[in-house]
Amino acid sequence: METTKTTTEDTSKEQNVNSLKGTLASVLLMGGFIALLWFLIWGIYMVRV
Amino acid sequence: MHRYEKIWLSLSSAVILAFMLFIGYQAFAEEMAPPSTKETLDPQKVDETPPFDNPGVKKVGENEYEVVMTLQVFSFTPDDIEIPAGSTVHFTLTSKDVVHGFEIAGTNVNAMVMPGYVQKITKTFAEPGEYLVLCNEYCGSGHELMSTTITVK
Amino acid sequence: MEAAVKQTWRQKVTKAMGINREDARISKSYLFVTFLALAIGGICGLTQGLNRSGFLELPSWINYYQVLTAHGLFLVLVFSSFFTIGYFYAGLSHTLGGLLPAVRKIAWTGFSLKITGLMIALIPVLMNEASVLYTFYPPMAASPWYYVGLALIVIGIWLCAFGAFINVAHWRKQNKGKHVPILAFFATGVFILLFFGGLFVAVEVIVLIIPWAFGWVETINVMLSRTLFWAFGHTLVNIWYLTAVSAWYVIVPKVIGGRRFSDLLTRIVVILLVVLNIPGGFHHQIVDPGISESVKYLHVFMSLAIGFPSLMTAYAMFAVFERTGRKKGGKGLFGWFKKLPWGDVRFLAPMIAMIAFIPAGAGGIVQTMNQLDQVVHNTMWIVGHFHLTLGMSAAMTFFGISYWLVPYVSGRVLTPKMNKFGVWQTVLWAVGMGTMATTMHIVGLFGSPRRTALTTYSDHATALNWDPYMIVIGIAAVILLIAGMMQIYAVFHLMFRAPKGNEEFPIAKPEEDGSKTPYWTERWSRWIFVMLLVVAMGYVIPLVDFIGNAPPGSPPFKTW
Repeated sequence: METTKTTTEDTSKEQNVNSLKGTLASVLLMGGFIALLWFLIWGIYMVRV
Repeated sequence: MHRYEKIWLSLSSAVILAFMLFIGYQAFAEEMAPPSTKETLDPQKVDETPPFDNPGVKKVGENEYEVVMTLQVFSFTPDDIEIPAGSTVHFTLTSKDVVHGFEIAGTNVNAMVMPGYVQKITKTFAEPGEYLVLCNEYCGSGHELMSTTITVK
Repeated sequence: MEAAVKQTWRQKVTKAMGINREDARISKSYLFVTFLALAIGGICGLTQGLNRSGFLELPSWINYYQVLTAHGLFLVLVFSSFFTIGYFYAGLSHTLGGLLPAVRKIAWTGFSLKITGLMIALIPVLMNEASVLYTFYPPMAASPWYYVGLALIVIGIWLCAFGAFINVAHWRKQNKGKHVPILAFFATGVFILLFFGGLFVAVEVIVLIIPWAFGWVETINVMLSRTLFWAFGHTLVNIWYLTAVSAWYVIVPKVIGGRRFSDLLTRIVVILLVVLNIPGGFHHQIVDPGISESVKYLHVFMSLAIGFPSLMTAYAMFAVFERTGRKKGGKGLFGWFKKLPWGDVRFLAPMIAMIAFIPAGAGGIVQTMNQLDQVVHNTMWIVGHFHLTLGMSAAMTFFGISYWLVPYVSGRVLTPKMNKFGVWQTVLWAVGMGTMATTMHIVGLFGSPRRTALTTYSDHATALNWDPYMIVIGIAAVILLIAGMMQIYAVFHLMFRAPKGNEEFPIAKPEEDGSKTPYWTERWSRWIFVMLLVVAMGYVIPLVDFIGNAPPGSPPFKTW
């Protein structure tokens, strides 16, 4: 029982250490910003046509 | 390569590519491409070369005008143009000396004007007002004074 | 064999004892000039900011555009190229086990050629005989000596490129089948770009402009000159970017106590940036006449392609930070972010530089999109863009490097006190440059033109609306000057006053579970061939067109 518990904890900790979820979230936020800026400038362009 | 990186790279590339294709559609199908005239002339004989031998505002159709304009240090010829609201204006531009820029502030009219090359750009002035025209490429000591207006009535 | 043994032995000595003193002197001299140029260029920048905001009327013996020419010359040409060479030569010395005596000689010859060139170019600038800005578009013509000086600077830079190639080739001969150390790999990419990018401006200046400026030929092909300039000009900005990127991939992971991102992907980013770079220059000409709509559209694709390696870099950096932060106990989606060493200037400065590259890169992607450029072309937006890319992304990375590189080459150490000073300096610079660049972007969208002295265009209402923004820019310029002077103080303190010792040259190790990098990454001849193909795709049609269908040329004009 005891050992199994430790192993599970270890695995979950290991997964946490190796997780790159934050990276994916960060780059997606960044991508959203790029798209937003594009729409802003495109919007200004279209208003001025 | 990590799975997340593949997701990110394909997603971002696809979005940027989509933007680019859309811009291409607008440029070619809706004729919104940036000013890219390919006509040339002798930059030392601008005054003798039509249409620049007779610069000015010309009515070419219903609500449609052509402005033949030369840019030189530090002025626009003709200057202080007046046109009726709602008209479409075709600008035909060249430089008599150095590189100039032709910008109507707050609009999409923004083009380089090079000696030896004709540049053309079109704008429909829906809103009345006094538009500021300025040179946006450094052209010499009076560059900051090089401006004129287009009054839309 | 014997040479190889000697080589590894020397590498070990370098690691243990710090840099060879003769190599150190080269980098130290280059860095000294770098920050002297920052001081002069910075004062010019302040003058412009104060003039445009209306705080300062220039005395009659100074012309705004003269100051602007000097600002560009010192920061765009001198600050950046001297830093790039000083930093990479230290990197080559450190990772390849010292510079070859012949290479040292080349570096010194290059140094004196560049200084001589700078002096020759500077005299006409001071005499108001060369107020043509650093882009010097013909047919505006400066004193011919201005161009002679610039040509000497380019030749000086070339010599340093050859020196780097010789040193890397020597190492490869001694270490057959091995991968060139990553920092030297970056250096190879940078110097290849400097060489090929420099070719374009050398042809422009030496073949087209100098004979025309001296009056040996009467007229010049204006579009050809302009296009050759931007083939160089945009490559140059990407060279500083690639220099900064090298620190992001190699130095920063070590500073934060982590490991590098995938070695293979890092090398691919370098190769891509080298291969794709040169045709990017064309997006400076989106609203030019004489180029067909289809050629311009092709170049939208070529410019956007340069963005791809940067998208890879963004991912790589976040991944390195997340891995390191999680190892230090960062939890949750963004907990790792707090675990980074924010109080270490060697991390803080390049980190802010990277963050600044997010809006900078986004702005770049948007403004290169064909007709969207009409919204921003030659407005203050563009000035804001390159103050983000160069003034923050590149310059702040260089500042961050200087806090350890200067003591490293000077046999001194970065003290905790100096580190704290650096943190304040970094924050101040970030606030100043961030405010200035943002304001420039906004006022540019309203139409305010770049490269224009104080003017209200006869009190035109549109132009009067720009004034409040110009005042913010003036205030930001003051903050920047203070931060810039602090940086210069820090560099000279670390060079001559700081306590003696051995500062670390931080180079991170490859990732633990990294797979072996295939050797094809080392085939530079192949990459150069591909690069030339891409350059040909981008430039053969327009250049042939500019030459074959050229209008009669233009005589020189002095319009200031």
